[in-house]
Amino acid sequence: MSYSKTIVLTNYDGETFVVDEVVAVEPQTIEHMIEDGCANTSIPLPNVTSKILSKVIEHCKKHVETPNSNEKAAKADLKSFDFDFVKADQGTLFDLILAMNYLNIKELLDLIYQTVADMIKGKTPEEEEEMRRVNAWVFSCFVGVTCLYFKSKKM
Amino acid sequence: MDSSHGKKRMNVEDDDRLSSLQDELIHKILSFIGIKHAIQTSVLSSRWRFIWTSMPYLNFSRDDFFRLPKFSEFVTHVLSGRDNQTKVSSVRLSNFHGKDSDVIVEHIMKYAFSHNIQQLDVACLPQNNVEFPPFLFSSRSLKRLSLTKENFSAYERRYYSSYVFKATSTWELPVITTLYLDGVTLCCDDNTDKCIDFFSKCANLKNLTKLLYGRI
Repeated sequence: MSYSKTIVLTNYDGETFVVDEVVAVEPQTIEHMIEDGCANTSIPLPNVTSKILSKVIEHCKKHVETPNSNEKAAKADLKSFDFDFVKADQGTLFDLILAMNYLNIKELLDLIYQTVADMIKGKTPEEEEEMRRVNAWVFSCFVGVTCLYFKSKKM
Repeated sequence: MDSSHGKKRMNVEDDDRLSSLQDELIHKILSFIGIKHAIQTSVLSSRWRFIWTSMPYLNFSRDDFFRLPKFSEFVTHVLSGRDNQTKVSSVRLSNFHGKDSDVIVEHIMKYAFSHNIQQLDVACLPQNNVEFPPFLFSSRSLKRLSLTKENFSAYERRYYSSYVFKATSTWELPVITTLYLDGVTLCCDDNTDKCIDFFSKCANLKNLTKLLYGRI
Protein backbone atom coordinates (compact mmCIF):
# COMPACT_ATOMS: atom_id res chain seq x y z
CA MET A 1 0.00 0.00 0.00
CA SER A 2 1.42 3.40 -0.85
CA TYR A 3 0.39 6.73 0.58
CA SER A 4 0.63 9.92 -1.41
CA LYS A 5 1.17 12.41 1.37
CA THR A 6 3.61 12.44 4.24
CA ILE A 7 3.66 14.48 7.42
CA VAL A 8 6.72 15.55 9.38
CA LEU A 9 6.53 15.31 13.16
CA THR A 10 9.09 17.11 15.28
CA ASN A 11 9.44 15.84 18.81
CA TYR A 12 10.65 17.12 22.15
CA ASP A 13 14.34 16.53 21.34
CA GLY A 14 14.06 18.28 17.99
CA GLU A 15 14.24 15.03 16.01
CA THR A 16 12.00 14.73 12.98
CA PHE A 17 9.89 11.75 12.01
CA VAL A 18 8.45 11.45 8.51
CA VAL A 19 5.21 9.47 8.51
CA ASP A 20 2.43 8.84 6.03
CA GLU A 21 -0.56 11.07 6.54
CA VAL A 22 -2.94 8.15 7.08
CA VAL A 23 -0.75 7.05 9.96
CA ALA A 24 -0.29 10.55 11.34
CA VAL A 25 -4.01 11.29 11.58
CA GLU A 26 -4.67 8.31 13.85
CA PRO A 27 -4.14 10.52 16.92
CA GLN A 28 -7.03 12.98 17.02
CA THR A 29 -4.81 15.87 18.11
CA ILE A 30 -2.71 15.63 14.94
CA GLU A 31 -5.80 15.17 12.79
CA HIS A 32 -7.22 18.42 14.18
CA MET A 33 -3.91 20.23 13.63
CA ILE A 34 -3.93 19.17 9.98
CA GLU A 35 -7.58 20.16 9.59
CA ASP A 36 -6.86 23.57 11.09
CA GLY A 37 -4.02 24.10 8.62
CA CYS A 38 -1.32 24.10 11.29
CA ALA A 39 0.62 21.37 9.53
CA ASN A 40 2.17 23.03 6.51
CA THR A 41 5.77 22.35 7.41
CA SER A 42 6.07 20.08 10.39
CA ILE A 43 4.01 19.33 13.44
CA PRO A 44 5.74 20.14 16.70
CA LEU A 45 5.11 17.65 19.51
CA PRO A 46 7.11 19.21 22.33
CA ASN A 47 5.68 16.93 24.99
CA VAL A 48 6.81 13.68 23.43
CA THR A 49 10.29 12.11 23.53
CA SER A 50 11.66 10.21 20.54
CA LYS A 51 11.43 6.85 22.30
CA ILE A 52 7.76 7.39 23.00
CA LEU A 53 7.01 8.97 19.64
CA SER A 54 8.47 5.97 17.78
CA LYS A 55 6.32 3.70 19.95
CA VAL A 56 3.25 5.77 19.18
CA ILE A 57 4.01 5.71 15.44
CA GLU A 58 4.57 1.95 15.60
CA HIS A 59 1.15 1.62 17.20
CA CYS A 60 -0.61 3.86 14.68
CA LYS A 61 1.04 2.05 11.75
CA LYS A 62 -0.09 -1.32 13.01
CA HIS A 63 -3.66 -0.08 13.43
CA VAL A 64 -3.74 1.54 9.99
CA GLU A 65 -2.21 -1.44 8.24
CA THR A 66 -4.46 -4.03 9.81
CA PRO A 67 -7.47 -4.38 7.50
CA ASN A 68 -10.59 -3.00 9.08
CA SER A 69 -12.66 -6.13 8.91
CA ASN A 70 -14.66 -8.31 11.19
CA GLU A 71 -12.26 -11.16 10.63
CA LYS A 72 -11.51 -12.87 13.90
CA ALA A 73 -7.86 -13.43 13.05
CA ALA A 74 -7.19 -9.76 12.29
CA LYS A 75 -8.95 -8.63 15.45
CA ALA A 76 -7.10 -11.15 17.61
CA ASP A 77 -3.80 -10.11 16.04
CA LEU A 78 -4.45 -6.45 16.82
CA LYS A 79 -5.50 -7.31 20.35
CA SER A 80 -2.36 -9.29 21.04
CA PHE A 81 -0.30 -6.48 19.52
CA ASP A 82 -1.91 -3.99 21.91
CA PHE A 83 -1.36 -6.26 24.90
CA ASP A 84 2.32 -6.66 24.03
CA PHE A 85 2.51 -2.93 23.46
CA VAL A 86 1.56 -2.10 27.04
CA LYS A 87 3.95 -4.68 28.50
CA ALA A 88 6.46 -1.93 29.15
CA ASP A 89 8.32 -0.74 32.21
CA GLN A 90 6.50 1.68 34.48
CA GLY A 91 8.47 4.71 33.33
CA THR A 92 7.52 4.04 29.72
CA LEU A 93 3.89 3.47 30.70
CA PHE A 94 3.69 6.88 32.38
CA ASP A 95 5.37 8.55 29.41
CA LEU A 96 2.85 6.80 27.19
CA ILE A 97 -0.06 8.02 29.32
CA LEU A 98 1.12 11.61 29.01
CA ALA A 99 1.83 11.28 25.29
CA MET A 100 -1.38 9.42 24.46
CA ASN A 101 -3.39 11.88 26.48
CA TYR A 102 -1.79 14.77 24.62
CA LEU A 103 -2.25 13.07 21.24
CA ASN A 104 -5.70 11.80 22.17
CA ILE A 105 -5.54 8.13 21.27
CA LYS A 106 -8.41 6.88 23.34
CA GLU A 107 -8.48 3.14 22.75
CA LEU A 108 -4.88 2.60 23.71
CA LEU A 109 -5.19 4.94 26.68
CA ASP A 110 -7.94 2.79 28.13
CA LEU A 111 -5.71 -0.25 27.87
CA ILE A 112 -2.84 1.58 29.57
CA TYR A 113 -5.12 2.84 32.34
CA GLN A 114 -6.28 -0.73 32.85
CA THR A 115 -2.66 -1.91 32.99
CA VAL A 116 -1.70 0.68 35.61
CA ALA A 117 -4.87 -0.05 37.59
CA ASP A 118 -3.91 -3.73 37.59
CA MET A 119 -0.53 -2.79 39.03
CA ILE A 120 -2.25 -1.05 41.88
CA LYS A 121 -2.22 -4.02 44.18
CA GLY A 122 -0.60 -5.28 47.30
CA LYS A 123 0.41 -3.41 50.39
CA THR A 124 2.02 -4.03 53.77
CA PRO A 125 0.08 -4.63 57.02
CA GLU A 126 1.24 -1.25 58.37
CA GLU A 127 -0.30 0.55 55.44
CA GLU A 128 -3.45 -1.45 55.88
CA GLU A 129 -3.67 -0.45 59.54
CA GLU A 130 -3.10 3.18 58.66
CA MET A 131 -5.83 3.04 56.07
CA ARG A 132 -8.34 1.62 58.49
CA ARG A 133 -7.56 4.32 60.98
CA VAL A 134 -7.99 7.19 58.52
CA ASN A 135 -11.06 6.02 56.72
CA ALA A 136 -12.66 3.66 59.17
CA TRP A 137 -15.97 3.65 57.37
CA VAL A 138 -14.46 2.06 54.27
CA PHE A 139 -12.93 -0.74 56.27
CA SER A 140 -15.72 -1.47 58.67
CA CYS A 141 -16.11 -4.78 56.91
CA PHE A 142 -12.87 -6.16 55.65
CA VAL A 143 -13.08 -8.22 52.51
CA GLY A 144 -9.61 -8.88 51.16
CA VAL A 145 -8.82 -5.28 50.53
CA THR A 146 -6.13 -4.32 48.20
CA CYS A 147 -4.93 -0.84 47.78
CA LEU A 148 -2.93 1.31 45.59
CA TYR A 149 0.58 1.36 46.79
CA PHE A 150 2.53 2.17 43.80
CA LYS A 151 5.73 4.06 43.46
CA SER A 152 7.38 3.81 40.13
CA LYS A 153 11.00 2.90 40.12
CA LYS A 154 13.65 5.19 38.79
CA MET A 155 14.11 4.73 35.10
CA MET B 1 13.82 23.43 25.67
CA ASP B 2 17.32 21.95 25.98
CA SER B 3 17.70 18.29 26.80
CA SER B 4 19.72 18.65 30.04
CA HIS B 5 16.89 20.66 31.56
CA GLY B 6 14.46 18.01 30.38
CA LYS B 7 16.43 15.20 31.98
CA LYS B 8 16.56 16.99 35.30
CA ARG B 9 12.87 17.58 35.24
CA MET B 10 12.16 13.96 34.41
CA ASN B 11 14.31 12.70 37.29
CA VAL B 12 12.25 14.67 39.75
CA GLU B 13 9.07 13.24 38.34
CA ASP B 14 10.49 9.72 38.47
CA ASP B 15 10.27 9.77 42.25
CA ASP B 16 6.56 9.14 42.00
CA ARG B 17 5.30 9.30 38.47
CA LEU B 18 1.79 8.27 39.39
CA SER B 19 1.31 11.04 41.95
CA SER B 20 2.62 13.62 39.53
CA LEU B 21 -0.03 12.87 36.94
CA GLN B 22 -2.81 15.41 36.80
CA ASP B 23 -5.97 14.57 38.75
CA GLU B 24 -7.95 13.96 35.59
CA LEU B 25 -5.60 11.15 34.51
CA ILE B 26 -5.48 9.62 37.99
CA HIS B 27 -9.28 9.57 37.98
CA LYS B 28 -9.22 7.69 34.67
CA ILE B 29 -6.84 5.09 36.12
CA LEU B 30 -8.89 4.77 39.30
CA SER B 31 -12.01 4.29 37.20
CA PHE B 32 -10.66 0.85 36.32
CA ILE B 33 -10.75 -0.20 39.96
CA GLY B 34 -13.86 0.13 42.09
CA ILE B 35 -14.73 3.21 44.12
CA LYS B 36 -13.88 1.36 47.32
CA HIS B 37 -10.29 0.80 46.26
CA ALA B 38 -10.11 4.30 44.84
CA ILE B 39 -11.03 5.71 48.25
CA GLN B 40 -8.44 3.57 49.98
CA THR B 41 -5.76 5.48 48.09
CA SER B 42 -6.54 8.49 50.26
CA VAL B 43 -4.11 7.25 52.92
CA LEU B 44 -1.10 7.22 50.63
CA SER B 45 -0.17 10.85 51.03
CA SER B 46 -1.61 14.34 51.20
CA ARG B 47 -1.59 14.30 47.39
CA TRP B 48 -4.02 11.39 47.45
CA ARG B 49 -6.07 12.45 50.43
CA PHE B 50 -8.90 14.05 48.47
CA ILE B 51 -8.40 12.81 44.93
CA TRP B 52 -11.31 10.40 45.17
CA THR B 53 -13.71 13.16 46.17
CA SER B 54 -13.62 14.61 42.69
CA MET B 55 -13.84 11.28 40.85
CA PRO B 56 -16.42 11.61 38.07
CA TYR B 57 -16.60 7.82 37.72
CA LEU B 58 -18.42 5.82 40.37
CA ASN B 59 -18.10 2.05 40.17
CA PHE B 60 -19.98 0.33 42.95
CA SER B 61 -20.03 -3.40 43.36
CA ARG B 62 -22.39 -5.04 45.81
CA ASP B 63 -19.56 -7.49 46.50
CA ASP B 64 -17.49 -4.75 48.10
CA PHE B 65 -19.25 -5.50 51.38
CA PHE B 66 -20.76 -8.79 52.40
CA ARG B 67 -23.46 -7.38 54.64
CA LEU B 68 -26.09 -5.09 53.22
CA PRO B 69 -26.17 -2.52 56.09
CA LYS B 70 -22.41 -2.04 55.77
CA PHE B 71 -22.73 -1.57 52.05
CA SER B 72 -25.53 0.91 52.56
CA GLU B 73 -23.43 2.84 55.06
CA PHE B 74 -20.54 2.84 52.60
CA VAL B 75 -22.68 4.25 49.79
CA THR B 76 -24.02 6.98 52.06
CA HIS B 77 -20.50 7.98 53.08
CA VAL B 78 -19.24 8.02 49.51
CA LEU B 79 -22.06 10.19 48.25
CA SER B 80 -21.94 12.62 51.16
CA GLY B 81 -18.13 12.78 51.26
CA ARG B 82 -17.85 13.43 47.56
CA ASP B 83 -17.34 16.94 46.26
CA ASN B 84 -20.86 18.02 45.50
CA GLN B 85 -19.77 20.34 42.70
CA THR B 86 -18.17 17.58 40.63
CA LYS B 87 -20.44 16.11 38.04
CA VAL B 88 -20.88 12.37 37.75
CA SER B 89 -19.81 11.26 34.32
CA SER B 90 -20.41 7.54 34.66
CA VAL B 91 -21.84 5.07 37.15
CA ARG B 92 -21.39 1.34 37.06
CA LEU B 93 -23.33 -0.90 39.40
CA SER B 94 -22.25 -4.52 39.46
CA ASN B 95 -23.46 -7.65 41.20
CA PHE B 96 -26.59 -6.09 42.56
CA HIS B 97 -28.83 -8.68 44.14
CA GLY B 98 -32.18 -7.44 43.05
CA LYS B 99 -34.76 -6.53 45.67
CA ASP B 100 -32.59 -6.31 48.76
CA SER B 101 -30.51 -3.52 47.35
CA ASP B 102 -33.27 -1.61 45.57
CA VAL B 103 -33.16 1.26 48.03
CA ILE B 104 -29.42 1.66 47.62
CA VAL B 105 -29.67 1.53 43.84
CA GLU B 106 -32.26 4.27 43.97
CA HIS B 107 -30.09 6.32 46.31
CA ILE B 108 -27.10 6.12 43.97
CA MET B 109 -29.18 6.86 40.92
CA LYS B 110 -30.90 9.84 42.48
CA TYR B 111 -27.52 11.30 43.28
CA ALA B 112 -26.11 10.51 39.83
CA PHE B 113 -29.07 11.90 37.95
CA SER B 114 -28.93 15.13 39.90
CA HIS B 115 -25.25 15.40 38.93
CA ASN B 116 -25.68 15.16 35.17
CA ILE B 117 -24.82 11.51 34.67
CA GLN B 118 -23.86 10.65 31.09
CA GLN B 119 -23.26 6.94 31.24
CA LEU B 120 -24.97 4.27 33.32
CA ASP B 121 -24.08 0.59 33.33
CA VAL B 122 -26.05 -1.76 35.52
CA ALA B 123 -25.19 -5.41 35.83
CA CYS B 124 -27.36 -7.40 38.20
CA LEU B 125 -27.27 -10.94 39.38
CA PRO B 126 -29.95 -13.00 37.70
CA GLN B 127 -32.12 -14.06 40.66
CA ASN B 128 -34.45 -11.14 40.90
CA ASN B 129 -36.04 -8.41 38.96
CA VAL B 130 -34.97 -4.90 39.66
CA GLU B 131 -37.25 -1.97 39.49
CA PHE B 132 -35.67 1.18 38.28
CA PRO B 133 -36.82 4.56 39.46
CA PRO B 134 -38.89 6.36 36.83
CA PHE B 135 -36.59 9.40 36.62
CA LEU B 136 -34.05 7.17 34.87
CA PHE B 137 -36.20 7.34 31.77
CA SER B 138 -36.46 11.09 31.57
CA SER B 139 -32.85 12.18 31.89
CA ARG B 140 -31.59 15.12 29.87
CA SER B 141 -27.92 14.18 30.27
CA LEU B 142 -27.78 10.39 29.82
CA LYS B 143 -25.86 9.41 26.68
CA ARG B 144 -25.31 5.72 27.25
CA LEU B 145 -27.38 3.18 29.13
CA SER B 146 -26.48 -0.45 29.50
CA LEU B 147 -28.54 -2.98 31.43
CA THR B 148 -27.13 -6.47 31.59
CA LYS B 149 -27.00 -9.51 33.80
CA GLU B 150 -23.79 -10.52 35.40
CA ASN B 151 -22.31 -14.01 35.01
CA PHE B 152 -25.15 -15.17 32.91
CA SER B 153 -24.59 -18.54 31.29
CA ALA B 154 -26.69 -19.78 28.40
CA TYR B 155 -28.44 -22.17 30.78
CA GLU B 156 -29.29 -19.46 33.25
CA ARG B 157 -30.51 -17.18 30.50
CA ARG B 158 -33.20 -19.66 29.69
CA TYR B 159 -34.40 -20.35 33.21
CA TYR B 160 -34.12 -17.10 35.06
CA SER B 161 -36.43 -14.22 34.60
CA SER B 162 -35.32 -11.06 32.91
CA TYR B 163 -35.68 -7.49 34.03
CA VAL B 164 -39.18 -6.34 33.43
CA PHE B 165 -39.91 -2.72 32.77
CA LYS B 166 -43.49 -1.80 33.27
CA ALA B 167 -43.51 1.41 31.40
CA THR B 168 -46.52 3.60 31.08
CA SER B 169 -44.93 6.18 28.89
CA THR B 170 -42.27 6.66 26.30
CA TRP B 171 -38.68 7.04 27.42
CA GLU B 172 -37.65 10.65 27.18
CA LEU B 173 -33.91 10.54 26.80
CA PRO B 174 -33.17 13.28 24.30
CA VAL B 175 -29.37 12.91 24.15
CA ILE B 176 -29.00 9.16 24.50
CA THR B 177 -26.93 7.65 21.70
CA THR B 178 -26.28 4.11 22.88
CA LEU B 179 -28.69 1.72 24.50
CA TYR B 180 -27.60 -1.80 25.34
CA LEU B 181 -30.20 -4.11 26.83
CA ASP B 182 -29.45 -7.71 27.62
CA GLY B 183 -32.17 -9.87 29.11
CA VAL B 184 -34.67 -7.06 29.43
CA THR B 185 -38.36 -7.34 28.81
CA LEU B 186 -40.26 -4.21 28.00
CA CYS B 187 -43.95 -4.37 28.60
CA CYS B 188 -46.81 -1.96 28.63
CA ASP B 189 -48.93 -1.05 31.58
CA ASP B 190 -51.42 -3.80 32.42
CA ASN B 191 -54.30 -1.37 32.50
CA THR B 192 -53.98 -0.22 28.94
CA ASP B 193 -53.86 -2.32 25.83
CA LYS B 194 -52.01 0.32 23.93
CA CYS B 195 -48.56 -0.55 22.75
CA ILE B 196 -45.94 2.03 23.49
CA ASP B 197 -43.19 3.09 21.17
CA PHE B 198 -40.53 3.32 23.87
CA PHE B 199 -37.81 4.93 21.84
CA SER B 200 -39.70 7.51 19.79
CA LYS B 201 -38.50 10.35 22.00
CA CYS B 202 -34.87 9.28 21.97
CA ALA B 203 -34.01 11.48 19.00
CA ASN B 204 -30.26 10.88 19.02
CA LEU B 205 -30.32 7.12 19.53
CA LYS B 206 -27.76 5.61 17.14
CA ASN B 207 -26.90 2.22 18.60
CA LEU B 208 -29.59 -0.01 20.00
CA THR B 209 -28.61 -3.52 21.01
CA LYS B 210 -31.17 -5.79 22.51
CA LEU B 211 -30.45 -9.40 23.29
CA LEU B 212 -33.05 -12.04 24.07
CA TYR B 213 -36.61 -11.61 25.18
CA GLY B 214 -37.32 -9.52 22.13
CA ARG B 215 -40.76 -8.34 23.09
CA ILE B 216 -40.45 -4.70 22.18
